Amino acid sequence: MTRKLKILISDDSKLLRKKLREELEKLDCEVIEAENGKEAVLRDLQDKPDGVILDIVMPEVGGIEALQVIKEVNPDIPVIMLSSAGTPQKLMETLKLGALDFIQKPYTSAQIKRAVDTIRKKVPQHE
Amino acid sequence: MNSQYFAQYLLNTGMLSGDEVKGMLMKSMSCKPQLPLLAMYQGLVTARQLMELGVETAAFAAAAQEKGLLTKSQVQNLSQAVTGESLRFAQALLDAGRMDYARLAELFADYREAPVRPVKEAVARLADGSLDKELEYYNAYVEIFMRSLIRFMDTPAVINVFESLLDSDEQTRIVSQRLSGDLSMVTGLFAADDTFVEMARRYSREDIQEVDELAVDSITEFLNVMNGLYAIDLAKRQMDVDLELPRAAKNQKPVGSHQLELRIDTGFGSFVLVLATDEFVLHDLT
Repeated sequence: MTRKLKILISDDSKLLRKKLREELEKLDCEVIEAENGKEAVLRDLQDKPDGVILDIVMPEVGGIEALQVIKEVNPDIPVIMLSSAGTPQKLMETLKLGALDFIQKPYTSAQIKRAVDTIRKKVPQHE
Repeated sequence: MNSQYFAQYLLNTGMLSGDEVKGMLMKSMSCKPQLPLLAMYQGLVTARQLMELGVETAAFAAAAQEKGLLTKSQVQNLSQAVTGESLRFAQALLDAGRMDYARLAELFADYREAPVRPVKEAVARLADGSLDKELEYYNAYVEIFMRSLIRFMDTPAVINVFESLLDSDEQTRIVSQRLSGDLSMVTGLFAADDTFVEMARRYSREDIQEVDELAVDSITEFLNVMNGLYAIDLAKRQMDVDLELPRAAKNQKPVGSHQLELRIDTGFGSFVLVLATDEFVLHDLT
């Protein structure tokens, strides 16, 4: 039996984290939370998630800086950006830094399912 | 005809008072447009024909077919028609006896021919000539915002051009967020605590009972999503903006440059959308 997919979600919004956790748990994922980019980097190092869902506008360390650090440490980890700031410029910037996809807030359940499927395909034992 | 600004048009033109519109918005939330109104709105029957038919709504379909005014397939299509806020509002006016079909038909015709969009007109009226190039940006923002209220808070809404709320003596909250880059703009939402909680409940779909962390977070997230939608709209005009961290405060009044305050009346209460070109300075509400 394969273990649950472990997903790190990083967003300063408590509401967003709560809703996203519910979505991901319905998809049989284990969820780790971070409230800002700095915490996201630490949790990534400590908990070794299979994938990360990152907001952009966050206190202390923003999502783009967090993405850079996470990808430097672990270039293969799938990272999906989830932000209200979904302009073409932000999309290009984050894709260049190695993000796999960009979801514009407000998200739909179908978008989250697709994101999980994308992460799952990148994790060998979940293929 | 735009599907949601009929109420705004009636308010702007003085056909209804602010209080009447507010009462009707509340009623319209539970209204379903009926076949006679739908048939008239789509130009299948006239107001005169409806009056002459003189039957109750329930008997309308059969009577209209019997008289040859509508075919069976037209009745079926009307029954399945997707209706917008304007029609719900018109049905509320009919149900309350505030207007009849003839008056509504006249107003629909006038509304279709109105030279300026109602939301734009309301914004211009509140700006009262005091804003220059920022007016264009404020207009675009407010149109996105008003459309989004239906989507995210499930309420029809109008901009009340006659009253303000910023000097409230109730307990209030404000959340705001700055957009920077090719455009500098700050947007804020200011509301009395009870309205704030209702907004939070509607946006989050959570059982929020008081102004707690989740309530503030919900309204902050709502504003963040609005600003994101606006940032995408600006990107279509080749303008790149960043969203900065939101702020929240209690019992504070915002003051900013080129500030515009719009009182928004909804089916559940009123709040203020505040726009400015730079970060608000917050003053105690005393």
